Amino acid sequence: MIDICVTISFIILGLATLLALRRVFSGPSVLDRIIGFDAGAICMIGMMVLLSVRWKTGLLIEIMLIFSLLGFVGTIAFVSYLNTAIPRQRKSSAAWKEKKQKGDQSK
Amino acid sequence: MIREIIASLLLVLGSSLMLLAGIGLVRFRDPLSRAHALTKATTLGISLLLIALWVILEDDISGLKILLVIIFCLLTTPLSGHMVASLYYRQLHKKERPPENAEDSSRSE
Repeated sequence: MIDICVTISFIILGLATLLALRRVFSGPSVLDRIIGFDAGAICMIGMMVLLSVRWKTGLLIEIMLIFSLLGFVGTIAFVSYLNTAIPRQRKSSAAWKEKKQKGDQSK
Repeated sequence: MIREIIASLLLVLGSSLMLLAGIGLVRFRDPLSRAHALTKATTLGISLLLIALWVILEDDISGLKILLVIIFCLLTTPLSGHMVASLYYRQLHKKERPPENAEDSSRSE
């Protein structure tokens, strides 16, 4: 019974990974691709869980931890890189006041 | 026997939640709603899968390590969703700047 359920779960998780890959390949913006990459990483951890259930071993748990860490770090790296590409604009920041004063002087 | 029944139920439930997250990822129209669909469903799905592994292994040390993985997933998945959502929010409100900043933004991209 558990073998049949593991096979069904493998098929379902493979389908979810294919949907995430479709979003990665055809995402309109970069953020959609990042989200799809995150979904693919989590689906891969789920497949490791299923493999570990099928083989009845606990040796893959550390590898699951490392893979979840890698997916998280990849997402955070992409997001923080894009975050620095957009200049921060708050009305209380010093650069904003400087630019506003410069614009007033040019007028 | 009862262990296998509980574990298989949790496995099918968790992977169905992951499939729901994938369907939401494809069907929704906005990066905000996609991140919303992905974050909650995959957090619960991966937790259910790991609990199923805990039930099937019958081992205390592996159970503690699985608890560590569950806590790590519960910490990191909502955080990455929040980062993506805040970045999209800032990209959405990028154009509401005065015109003397507009040429700066076009240069930096």
